[in-house]
Amino acid sequence: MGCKKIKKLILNYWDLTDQEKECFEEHLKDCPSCAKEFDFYHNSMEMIKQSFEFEVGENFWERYESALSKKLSKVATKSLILSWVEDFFQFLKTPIIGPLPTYLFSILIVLLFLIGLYPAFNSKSFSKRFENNLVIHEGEIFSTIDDGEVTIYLLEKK
Amino acid sequence: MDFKRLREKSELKKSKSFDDEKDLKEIIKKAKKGDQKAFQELVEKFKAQVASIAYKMIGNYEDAKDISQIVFVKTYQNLNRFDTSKKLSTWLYRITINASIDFIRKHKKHRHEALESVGGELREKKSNVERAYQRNLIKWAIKKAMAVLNEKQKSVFVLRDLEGLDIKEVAEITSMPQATVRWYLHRARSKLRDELLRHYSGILEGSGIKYGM
Ligand SMILES: [Zn+2]
Repeated sequence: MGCKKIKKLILNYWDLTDQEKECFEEHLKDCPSCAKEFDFYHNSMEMIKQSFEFEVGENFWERYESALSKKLSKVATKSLILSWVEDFFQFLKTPIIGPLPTYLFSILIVLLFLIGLYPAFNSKSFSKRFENNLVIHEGEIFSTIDDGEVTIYLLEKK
Repeated sequence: MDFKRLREKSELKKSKSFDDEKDLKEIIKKAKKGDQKAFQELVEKFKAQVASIAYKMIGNYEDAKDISQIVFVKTYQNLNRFDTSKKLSTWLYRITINASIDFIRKHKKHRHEALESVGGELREKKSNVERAYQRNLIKWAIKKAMAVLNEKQKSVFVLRDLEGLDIKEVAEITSMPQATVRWYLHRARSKLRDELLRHYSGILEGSGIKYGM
């Protein structure tokens, strides 16, 4: 290999195969120019590695752990609530009596609701019927009108 | 240059990073079922590596701490989606790289100013503590040089050259083909070398690194 090729490989020395490395090293033994360049690059790299070495004390990890466990327990509570909500929807999806589809179940709910509301719709006509005082006399219904002294009986229904 | 010693060093690193995978899989399975203690074990096992990658991406311990905690919270939330047949470290490192990139994007302007002011401060202190100053200056120069790398260049450089992972794993973590990883690596390395040569060769010389033309 010539200098030109070697100089290209300097940056990638660590990615070379063992065979390539041997060729490379052979060349550097006899070529001070390439060796110098390699030295500079290699030393700079060592320097970079050193300055990015992760060196922290016990104190760092203590603070780390307490902060992390707080964050994790927060997330855990949140996911617990979420799983409850999920379970509830899962419950709604599962058929209660046999394979009852969801839409039928909801129609049933709406129907029951409407039946419950029925008296409210009719309450006005109901009260009207009892507006007058009704009296039942010998199987006949009379409504009564009080006029102070006299009471008038009107035949309502036979 | 003692090549034999160089190679031995790299072999040592490889054997060190080889984890007991079978044991780990059991812990992951337990954690997936909601075992808090098992998850704590995973954190214990990976926290230093995750925080270290975040630190190399960001260059600041406090931010690295916050980022690595985000990583573990995200892991906790999504662990049920993790495919146990794959390596957990790959998955964790991917989340770490992504969280770091997110952080860099959010704090770009602010960080630039912070680096500038550190440089100014260091220049003033020169007369005081010469050696500590020199060391800090080199750190500063290197961090400054690292700032010229873009997100992808920085990610592959941190994973491959600073963390010592192999290219195959870097490709998996970054979801890029190996050839692309090699390309970004080459760009990162030459950019860094040029930057150090152009602006900081004086500082590096103070540490014994010389590059005469
Ligand atoms: Zn040569």
